Amino acid sequence: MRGFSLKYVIKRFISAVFTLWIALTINFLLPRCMGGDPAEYLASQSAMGSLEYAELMKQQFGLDKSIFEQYILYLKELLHGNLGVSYMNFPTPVKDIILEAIPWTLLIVITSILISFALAWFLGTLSALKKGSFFDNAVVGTSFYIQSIPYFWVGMLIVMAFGYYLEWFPMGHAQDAAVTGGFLAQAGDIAYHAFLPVLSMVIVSLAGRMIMMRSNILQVFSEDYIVLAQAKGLKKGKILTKYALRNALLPSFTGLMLSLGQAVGGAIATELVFSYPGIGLTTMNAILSHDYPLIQGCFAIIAVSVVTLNFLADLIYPLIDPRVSLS
Amino acid sequence: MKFWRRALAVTAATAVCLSGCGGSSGSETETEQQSEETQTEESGETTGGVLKFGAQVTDTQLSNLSPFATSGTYTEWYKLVYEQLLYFNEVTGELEPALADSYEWNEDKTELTLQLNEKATWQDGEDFTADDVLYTYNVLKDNPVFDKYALWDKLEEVTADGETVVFKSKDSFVSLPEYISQIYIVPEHIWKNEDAATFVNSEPIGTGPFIWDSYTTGTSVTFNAYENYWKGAPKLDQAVLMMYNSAANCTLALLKGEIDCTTGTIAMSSLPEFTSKENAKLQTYSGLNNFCVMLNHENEQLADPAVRKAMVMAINQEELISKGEYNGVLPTYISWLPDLFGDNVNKEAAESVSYNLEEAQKILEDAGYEKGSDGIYAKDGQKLSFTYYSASGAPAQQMEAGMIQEWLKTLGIEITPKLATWAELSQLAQNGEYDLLQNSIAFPPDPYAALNTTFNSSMTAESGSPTPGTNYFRYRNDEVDSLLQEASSLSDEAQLTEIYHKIQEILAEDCVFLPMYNGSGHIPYYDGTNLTGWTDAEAPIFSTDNLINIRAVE
Repeated sequence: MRGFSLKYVIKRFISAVFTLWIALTINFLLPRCMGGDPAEYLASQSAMGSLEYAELMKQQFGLDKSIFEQYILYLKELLHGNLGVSYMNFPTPVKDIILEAIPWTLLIVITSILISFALAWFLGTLSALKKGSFFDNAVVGTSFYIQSIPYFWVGMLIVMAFGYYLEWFPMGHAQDAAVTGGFLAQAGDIAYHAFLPVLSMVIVSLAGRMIMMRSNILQVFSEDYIVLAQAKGLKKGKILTKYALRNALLPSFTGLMLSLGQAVGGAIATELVFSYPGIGLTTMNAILSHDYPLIQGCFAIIAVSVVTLNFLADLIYPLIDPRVSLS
Repeated sequence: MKFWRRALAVTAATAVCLSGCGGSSGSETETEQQSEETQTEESGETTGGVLKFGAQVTDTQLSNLSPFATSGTYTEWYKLVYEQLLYFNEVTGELEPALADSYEWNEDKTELTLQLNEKATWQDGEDFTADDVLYTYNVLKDNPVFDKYALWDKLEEVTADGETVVFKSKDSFVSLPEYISQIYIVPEHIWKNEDAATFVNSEPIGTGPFIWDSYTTGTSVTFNAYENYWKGAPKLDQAVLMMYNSAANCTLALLKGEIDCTTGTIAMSSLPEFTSKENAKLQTYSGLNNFCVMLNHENEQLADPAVRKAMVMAINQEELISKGEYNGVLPTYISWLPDLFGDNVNKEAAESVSYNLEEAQKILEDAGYEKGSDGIYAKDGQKLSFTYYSASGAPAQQMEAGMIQEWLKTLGIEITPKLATWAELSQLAQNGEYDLLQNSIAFPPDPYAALNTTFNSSMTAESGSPTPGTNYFRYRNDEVDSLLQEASSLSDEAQLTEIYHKIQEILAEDCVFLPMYNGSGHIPYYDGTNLTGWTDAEAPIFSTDNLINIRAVE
């Protein structure tokens, strides 16, 4: 068995590295396929369109080298953990920009993912157990309704309702500069500011995950082994925890791992609506201003975390689903 | 790690600042000083207060605080902390003394002598001297990337003798004072220890009325009043920049009264709601870029002046500005130069073409165009049909593009709308790969350069290759070229003004582009709610004159 699983790990690892290389290469090529040259754009904005100036900018950014040279340099620097220097915020290292933005993103995105999955599992299970009841109908009906509302709108409604009119929560930002005092006061302030963004993301993501959980449970309940367990006279609670939940959670677990992997991609709409500092908006602005190194840096982080989380999921999966390790 | 360390540092700094402000000795001397100064003007005036100003600015845009920064950084805060030798007042169009008290030309305008301001001091207590000026201009010389206006192509040397600085240029350089007004002076004693090319200046020290105090990631920047500011201590205690990720959020905070003003960010569609509020005011003044629909003169049909003139006359500029921008901006003139150029603006030429659809159609018909059954004009079997590029992801731009396209269709011109990102738009314009393209063109506060880089035929290129300047129109007019040539050798201002007027007259006649609106300064603010003391007729809200006078309401 041991040899088996080591081989499994190596195989998965090689496939992860290969995927990463492909992703990083596309990551390099894609921004350069966009129409518009960042150096010329800067020259047109600040230096009366001067071509000499655009040329100076290109030299500064290393864009005067051939695309192949740029690619080799990019891979070499990446292996040294160097993400380059942002064009639009020259000469700030991309690494600094990302490190500044990412804790905030992770805070709200991971919090909302965990809350959303926990609630989805709980409500989904409950509504499956009470299939056809008023509760079930209400939950499913509301879910379909919420599912069809765009996030942007939900976010703005929440800002208007709880921030602008009721004034229960701040309309945006991650913290208040005026809050002083100990660590607790700071943490409290940060949580207070994170409440509405997290709430909005939970509301929007909850519905789909809950419906999925509900149908998983219902499907498992129709399996023969559940019927057998019922026939044996096992208690309903024991059937649920020992047989049904374990199996119903499997697809949802993959969803959770994927969501966590995508967490660093940020939540562009949330960051925009709540003026929240984060990596999503940084990425979007980088793309709009053709800041190649920053785009590459942001996508590299996203690619690495998605691939890593998938790799981890592959490793954990055999532990929770014995059928997988044998294949 | 760095992030948390910084967060802690910010907390500590805020704590120190708050306790400092609360401390009795410091604040007492401050009020004493100020009451002494204000007694002469108005008795019983209050001091203190915090100016909260909002802007659409993201965390990344504050990662490089060097005033030499060339690209996407947020620059409005420089106006609080840094100063130039001369200040260009965009409201009056005048050059005013700043770090230089006065300036003087030699006969042929190749030597500009400036007397430095001896009262100015750096915020860390050091004296401001000629060395700081020499250092700043040498940074531009050593780093051509920072020298956006290519000043050192024309400058010979900058020298100092005591408190006198002399700029020597290779030929006469009439607009040098205007360019000097764009360069912020940095302290030599701090910068000399750094490599200016890569220094991000995380603790800025300037000579201006406010000191950069602390930054809270993605939320705000706090500035404290600089008591020894040479024009007099600001009456405010603090100014706080509140950061917003979108114009909509910034506007919402303004409407709610969380901020006292913005540096120009406002969702234009909320302008009517804002101005209906108590004490709400909007300061509008012309700025250094013009929005227009560029016409590619290398397109055979657009080469016909009749077609261009008809198109200009088919556009209802007044409605464009009232519906698209809620009257928060000033028009782009068909003669190009905006009001901030003062006497150099040819007002008559600016108003020589106006909206008149019938007349526009008549011009086309007189030029031999006939309307087909589809309502589109054609000549020799060729329909007037153009592509029209505008910015994607910019709702106001798209709405305005829609209005203009509709007017052109009403005139009888077929339009194929196309969208592109801002960077793509500049590339398309630069390479002439368009028929019609909606974007803005920026220029320095120098009428010669504003006209030369945009309309001289040497600043353009064949479609397909990039232009060396901003003559994206592929506009070529020998008369304009020779007038510009003449202007480049003149040093008499009255003669120059005359030439500029002539050029503007030709531009208006030629209808080079479809005018939209000027990238005007529009500053929404509340006068009398929390703060008072703003003067909007004499200087921009974010000028040192205003910043030191704004104060809390009694």
